[in-house]
Amino acid sequence: MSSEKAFSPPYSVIGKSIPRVDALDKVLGRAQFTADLQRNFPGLLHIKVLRSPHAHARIIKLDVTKAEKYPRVRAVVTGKDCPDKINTRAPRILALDEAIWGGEGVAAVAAESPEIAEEALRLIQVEYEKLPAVLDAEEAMQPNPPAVVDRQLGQYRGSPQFTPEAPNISGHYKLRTGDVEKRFAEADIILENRFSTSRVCHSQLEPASCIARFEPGGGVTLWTNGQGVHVIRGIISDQFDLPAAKVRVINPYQGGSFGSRLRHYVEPLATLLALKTRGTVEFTYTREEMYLAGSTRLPVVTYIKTGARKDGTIVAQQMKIIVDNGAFYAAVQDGRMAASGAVCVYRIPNFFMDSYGVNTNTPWAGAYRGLGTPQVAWAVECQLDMLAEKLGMDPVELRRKNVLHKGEKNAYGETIESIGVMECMEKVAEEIRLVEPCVQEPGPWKKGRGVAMGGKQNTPRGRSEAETLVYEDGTVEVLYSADEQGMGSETIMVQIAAEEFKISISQVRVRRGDTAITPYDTFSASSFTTYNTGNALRMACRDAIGQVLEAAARKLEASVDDLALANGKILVKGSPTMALADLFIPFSMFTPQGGPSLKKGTPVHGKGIFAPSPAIPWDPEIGQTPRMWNWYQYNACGVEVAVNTETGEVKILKGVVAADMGFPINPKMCEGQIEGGFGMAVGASLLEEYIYRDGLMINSSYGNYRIPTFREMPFRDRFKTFFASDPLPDGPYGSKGVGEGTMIAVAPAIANAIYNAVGIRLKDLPLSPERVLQALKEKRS
Amino acid sequence: MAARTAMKRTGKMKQRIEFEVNGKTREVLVEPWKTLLEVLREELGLTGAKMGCDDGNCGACTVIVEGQAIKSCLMLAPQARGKKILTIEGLGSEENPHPLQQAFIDHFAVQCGFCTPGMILAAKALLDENPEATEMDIRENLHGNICRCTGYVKIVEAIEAARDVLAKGPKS
Repeated sequence: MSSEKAFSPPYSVIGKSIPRVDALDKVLGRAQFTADLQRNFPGLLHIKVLRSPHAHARIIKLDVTKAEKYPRVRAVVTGKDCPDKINTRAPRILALDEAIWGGEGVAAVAAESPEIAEEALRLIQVEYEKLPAVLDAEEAMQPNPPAVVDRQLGQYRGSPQFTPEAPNISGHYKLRTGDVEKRFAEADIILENRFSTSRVCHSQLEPASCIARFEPGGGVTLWTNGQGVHVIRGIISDQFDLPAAKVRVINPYQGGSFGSRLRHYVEPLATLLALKTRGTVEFTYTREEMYLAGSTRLPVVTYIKTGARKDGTIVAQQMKIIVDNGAFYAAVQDGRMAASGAVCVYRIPNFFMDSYGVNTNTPWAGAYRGLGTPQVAWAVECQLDMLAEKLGMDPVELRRKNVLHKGEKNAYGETIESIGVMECMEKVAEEIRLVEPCVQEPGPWKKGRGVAMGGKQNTPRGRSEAETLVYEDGTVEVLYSADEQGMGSETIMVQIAAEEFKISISQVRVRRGDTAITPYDTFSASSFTTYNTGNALRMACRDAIGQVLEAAARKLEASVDDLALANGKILVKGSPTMALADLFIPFSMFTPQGGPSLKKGTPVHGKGIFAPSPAIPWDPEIGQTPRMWNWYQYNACGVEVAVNTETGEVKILKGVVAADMGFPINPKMCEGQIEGGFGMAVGASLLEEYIYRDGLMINSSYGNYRIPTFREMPFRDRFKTFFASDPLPDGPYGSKGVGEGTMIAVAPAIANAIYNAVGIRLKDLPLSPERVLQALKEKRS
Repeated sequence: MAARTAMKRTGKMKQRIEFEVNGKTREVLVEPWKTLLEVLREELGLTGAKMGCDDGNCGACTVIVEGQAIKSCLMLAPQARGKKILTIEGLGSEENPHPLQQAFIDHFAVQCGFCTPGMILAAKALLDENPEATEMDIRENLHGNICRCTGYVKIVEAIEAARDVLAKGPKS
């Protein structure tokens, strides 16, 4: 199941673990990230931002005159200097009258060195009037909340779903199917619980960074690690009223993102100050700023009520899902995406679900590996284990009984095309030996095992374009704009081109991520780069091959159907081959250089465009539609943990993860995504949370906000990954995506294993030693 | 950090500092509060060492000074005076990558690549000191270098593979 052989037969490059094409540059230290480019810009100015020390405050006085006069300061800006256009893809650049979370920018300085910029910040005088702040989403969503977070909520362009039931609710999604009340009345067992997750931060290693250069004539060029060069161009062009052609965005390698860079928090301010100084500026977040004013994961509270028959059949479910946007909603504003985690795995014939997006006076939240689905699956998968126990049923059997099958409709009314989730679960349950009791040793450490599973929707959005240039020597250049934030998209694109042209990977060159050169793409999100950009590239390859074969057919007076291109040669059925190079006519005064034939020095240019078919609008009262999302990736996880009954520590002794990503184009890279997703989920499960005092995050550093190190992972020989691939009909070669699903099942698997070990049921993440100890104490008394 | 901030405000006088970087003698003229990381990146153009946090908690800036893996964001430039420094740029080349670099490629230990130079140098310092380092040794010695992409599984695998290659062949 995990071997590569199962996937490789018809292909020469696809399905094989080709070494990453960016790995050599990265191990030699010569791969260029945004901040590495700074030394190429003499006279570069540096931006630093003054941030609000209050969760919610009115700015009574803001005096920047001393800072402006400080030597070698080139510009100081406040909210008044910012364009008043609000874009839902970027938080406002600087606070205007009120600062609405602890860490919101209030003023910014551009100076000749970072040190001078910092010194100038100290000269800015701000007087705040503290206002009541609301930090808790359940409080904030009340009709009369303690504070209104954002008075402009609902005026944001691009938010048609705004439903002002209360001043902090950014949106409300309803799903209604069947008759829940009636089915609850008939159920043999009803279980009701509340689960919650903490605020966590992507903590990707490379901080957000942008260089903006003013261009003569009033344009700007940005080098940035933000995601989606064309989306950034759109935002900048819109906010600053610049024609798109005057905004060029270039994307070096990105040092991780996990969703953080999908909203653009450095580019607008860098642009503002580049335009103001008519110079080149850089804006790089400190690690503290990444926590306070970069993106975070959406904290979610889930109320779940499940009704089942004695045989384990789930007959009805009611859920209320409260998604905390922080001070700025940067995700789907009605909580619908998080809620999808409860729809895509199990058959729930009677479902009554409400999800809400709610603003609070906390650092803003948005996309984070899985976009809310892991937070909701946390509730669903713990709930199922609790239900299984009440029914006296094996937890895997309970899942088997209720899991959706291919061809069935889910509660949205979508028909499931590809679902390998139960195969994933069977594999992990077997590998972790779920049915066998753990052998306990004397001492405080108690062992236990648990499993969980889940799915992540893929959002049907975006348009991906790709181009191929085929040179007479048989080499191919591919042009596209998808991000390379570490997931390996470059390698996947090279593999696709090499496969289509039947050439080696060394014969493929990549040109990526420059709005002046490479064709349109949205951004790399929702695990869709292989699917969206990969499909577009495959079309671009086939377009170019078609042109080459047409030229060959003309020259050889053969039928295109009898021709094929491989390894720089034209293969002709029943005849000797012809070199590709011979199709390209050399330039001479006596040969016609117009006309349809191929010319030396001019590559054949193939183009491809892929856009998934869009979602189909739903009746807002029932939320059903045959197409809410696109495809789903699935995942299951099993763990063996040890719980220290004296200290509350939890150690992960073994981990097993199986994933359904469709056809794995590069199996080792898929494994890497599974392992990385597991590691990241271990952080969110056991370690990570924002700790606040007076509404301010007080642990905003790697030292105080702990993310997993080598020590928190199970040993290498006790961690296994498997594939249970259900190919997707319209995925390139049957592939889907893999990046996000790997987060989903880990936290509930750990919680279920803790229950198995020591009999405590924790419902709030993270599963910190304090919470474990407290629960153990409650259990004893 | 507070001391450094105070120094930044007063210590404007530049100092001449000489050290050996990747086998070559280099001389820079910098303010004494500049960190070794800043000097490597800004003065010498050696951008392989990365700034991930600036307070010694991520390890992306790891270089080898006198055989020891150190976090170059925590060493002030004058502290490096006269010392031998190895950065990722001096470890191996495209034609002849160091076994650790080759193993990181072969074992898919690289994803975004931002932690990679520091990770490789921390591993080199460990293997130089303990050529038989076990997985436990690797976990204990490298836990100050964080990676958010890989879950560390393939990094451990790569370091163990490089260890075995280095044990067999002549040391490079």
